[in-house]
Amino acid sequence: MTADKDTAPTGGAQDPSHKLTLLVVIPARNEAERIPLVLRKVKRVVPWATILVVEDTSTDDTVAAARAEGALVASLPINIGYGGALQTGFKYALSQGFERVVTLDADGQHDPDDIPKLLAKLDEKGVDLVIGSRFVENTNYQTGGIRRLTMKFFSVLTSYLAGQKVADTTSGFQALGRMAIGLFAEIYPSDYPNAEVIVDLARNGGKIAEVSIKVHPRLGGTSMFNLWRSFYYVVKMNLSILMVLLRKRRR
Amino acid sequence: MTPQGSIIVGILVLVLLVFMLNMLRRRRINEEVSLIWMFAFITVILLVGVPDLADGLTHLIGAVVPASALTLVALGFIGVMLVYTSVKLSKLTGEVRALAQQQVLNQIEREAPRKAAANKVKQETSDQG
Repeated sequence: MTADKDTAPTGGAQDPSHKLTLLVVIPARNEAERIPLVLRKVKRVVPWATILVVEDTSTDDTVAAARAEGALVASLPINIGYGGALQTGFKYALSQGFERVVTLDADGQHDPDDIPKLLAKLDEKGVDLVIGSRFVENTNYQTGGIRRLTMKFFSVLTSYLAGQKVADTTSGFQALGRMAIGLFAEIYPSDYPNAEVIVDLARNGGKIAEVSIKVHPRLGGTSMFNLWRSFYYVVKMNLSILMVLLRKRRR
Repeated sequence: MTPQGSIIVGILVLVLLVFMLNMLRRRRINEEVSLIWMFAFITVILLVGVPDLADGLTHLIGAVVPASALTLVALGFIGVMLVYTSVKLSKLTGEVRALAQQQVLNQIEREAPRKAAANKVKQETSDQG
């Protein structure tokens, strides 16, 4: 694919104040009921942005619902996981020359009103990745004891390995600059991309920042995490982090 | 190994060899993988058909009877094949994922200029209105 900004779908995909192009990537699977509201909010907050919904083999009308709201839709032919869907967005951003990417979930938990806050932090000198964090300040986010303990464990481990404080390693609400877009478009895990991509970014010279975000209850549907997946997640994440440390730096 | 055991193993391996060749003929398996299996079958046939070879291998690995040596060789081969298959599967999964991503990216690239043109027409219409 060629990097031709003239083919960027919404044409003027620039932030009027910053003159930087922005792609909002929303991975979605069976979110037909929830995604219209999310898209409307995103369009209200960042009307200059291009919105890309990466639809991962939904069995409902997610594609039609997203298209009806004017979003670009990448409808994957096979299920490649949450991380694979996100990476599709990063690849698109890289090929089209987008300077910034914001990722958020399609289930309504992330509030698009927080996007400007993430972008403002990303504009600070040297910042490559901004994580919308549920734990920087006291937010309304509530989760079970074991899950919170797991999150805390990965926060401490990631902060130590990355050499930078990272309170929330599992947030899907992030803003990326060009360096992070390039790195993640190249290699990105297919299922739950969290702590290991943060460690990978830090090892390749990336700077990470966090801002506090609001988290709403899901608008419906079910979470992709259950007990078995949570157990698998912990084991897999530790292995992935170990592999990141054993591999050569990419930059 | 007793003559009876040798005959049974020999027949079994020959049947598997014919089965593999038939799979290859029907393009259900590719040459690269089938060659590995055929190499294994021929090794077993040699071990069964040439008793000195089996005895030598038995002494080499410290087994008491040739059947044990044969079992160990078979287990080693199955282990290697499983690792080989896992590596291939991981590689293929990555390639399929990359292909799926490229397909949708190409699709967006084809659709995006049309959408940009549609937006432009819409904008011009609203400006005139």
